[in-house]
Amino acid sequence: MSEGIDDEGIHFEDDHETSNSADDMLIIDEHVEVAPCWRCGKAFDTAILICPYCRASRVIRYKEPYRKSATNAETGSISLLMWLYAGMLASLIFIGAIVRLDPNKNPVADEAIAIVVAIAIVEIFDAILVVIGCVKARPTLNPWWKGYRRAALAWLGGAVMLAAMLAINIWYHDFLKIQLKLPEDGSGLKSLKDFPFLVIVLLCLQPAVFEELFFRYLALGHFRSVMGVHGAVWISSLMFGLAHLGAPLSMPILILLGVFLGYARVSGGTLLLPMVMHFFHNYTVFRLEGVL
Amino acid sequence: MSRLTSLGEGPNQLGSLAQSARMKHMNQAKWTLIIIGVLTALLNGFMLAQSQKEVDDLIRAGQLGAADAGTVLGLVRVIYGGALALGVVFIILGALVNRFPVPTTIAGLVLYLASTALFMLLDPSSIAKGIVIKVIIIYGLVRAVNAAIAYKKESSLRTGFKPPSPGLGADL
Repeated sequence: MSEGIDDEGIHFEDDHETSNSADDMLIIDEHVEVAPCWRCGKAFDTAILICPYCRASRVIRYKEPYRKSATNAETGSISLLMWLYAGMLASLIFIGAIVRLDPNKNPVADEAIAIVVAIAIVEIFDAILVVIGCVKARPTLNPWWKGYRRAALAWLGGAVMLAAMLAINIWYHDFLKIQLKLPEDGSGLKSLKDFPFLVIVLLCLQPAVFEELFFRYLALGHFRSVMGVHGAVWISSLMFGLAHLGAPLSMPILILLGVFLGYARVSGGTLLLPMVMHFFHNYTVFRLEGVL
Repeated sequence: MSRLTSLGEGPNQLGSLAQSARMKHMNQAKWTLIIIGVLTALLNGFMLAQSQKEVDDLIRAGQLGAADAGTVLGLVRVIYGGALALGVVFIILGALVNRFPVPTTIAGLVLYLASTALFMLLDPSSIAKGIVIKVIIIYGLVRAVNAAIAYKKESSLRTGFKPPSPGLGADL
């Protein structure tokens, strides 16, 4: 309560009390309902869908951790993703410029060792990049998991689709060999058949783990937060296929394989499914080519 | 109280200015992709048309055996044909930037990075050629991707979501 004398010399008493208590501030107008923001905790009109303090939406789509600015975090993560991708491509250029494979030469032991060393360097470098991505730019948790029944169907369907993908892959490469009259072992990988353990680790296991982590976890996860699921699958598959610079003629079929693995990840709700399928795909291909 | 009214005052005018700036970056990316696409398509279309002559010149110079001519011609046509198709894809992506800003800018960036890397791998002497222009193009495309993401987020916030279910505010 306050009191005083106004300009006309009349004594007045003012019993209007201002209050700073939180409870009182919740009721600004008896006709307006307010509620606190889920992110910053400050109360505002429920008719307003965007918090005027932190710009969070009233509608919560995902359970996301608090971020200073969701948009900045997403663009920063996607920028990091592109840098890591550019790093992968650069490593392939570097190694490719150093190691030149001549398919007409008979494979000799020291050339096979050179190929193994080159592949190992690239794979280790890529693994480091993927680990950096997983640590620095984990995507927002996406609700991929849709239950055990859906996952079981995805695993069964995935096995059938894997067989179909392998058949398409083999047919495509045979078609190319016939049409372009390519040599039998154009890649020079048959010289690695004396190193089966290294082939399995470097060309089957490492891609199954780290490539899936990068393309189906990082890339797919981040793209899903800024576009629809189909766009995210296709663009991450495009990145996957184009990353195989050492086999440019195989890029179309690898993009298709990436699409298959991407939808396997989305349908199955787990990263394990595309990892297992990627491993078996590579293992089967190298076995059929006589490398294993 | 309408949602648009509540969003159109005070700091949201700054949001409109930011949206205009983002549109400008996306338009730059649109024309960058279209110009890259046209140049790529024209150049590789010309090279594709000249591929037979190129292989014949190599045979005449003794750098290529006649037995390998078929394979080399096939590979050359695949490379130039692929690059021509890539140019067409860039033009399509550029044309669709305003409609699908995020997927097209990201796809354009990925395709440009990968195609540049592939041509560097096929011809290592081209690594240094035009490196400044390539860096500028990549920088512009990265900026366009960031602008597209921010633009889409801001647009979706402005158009609003479905009204919250009763009791959402009370639960919080």
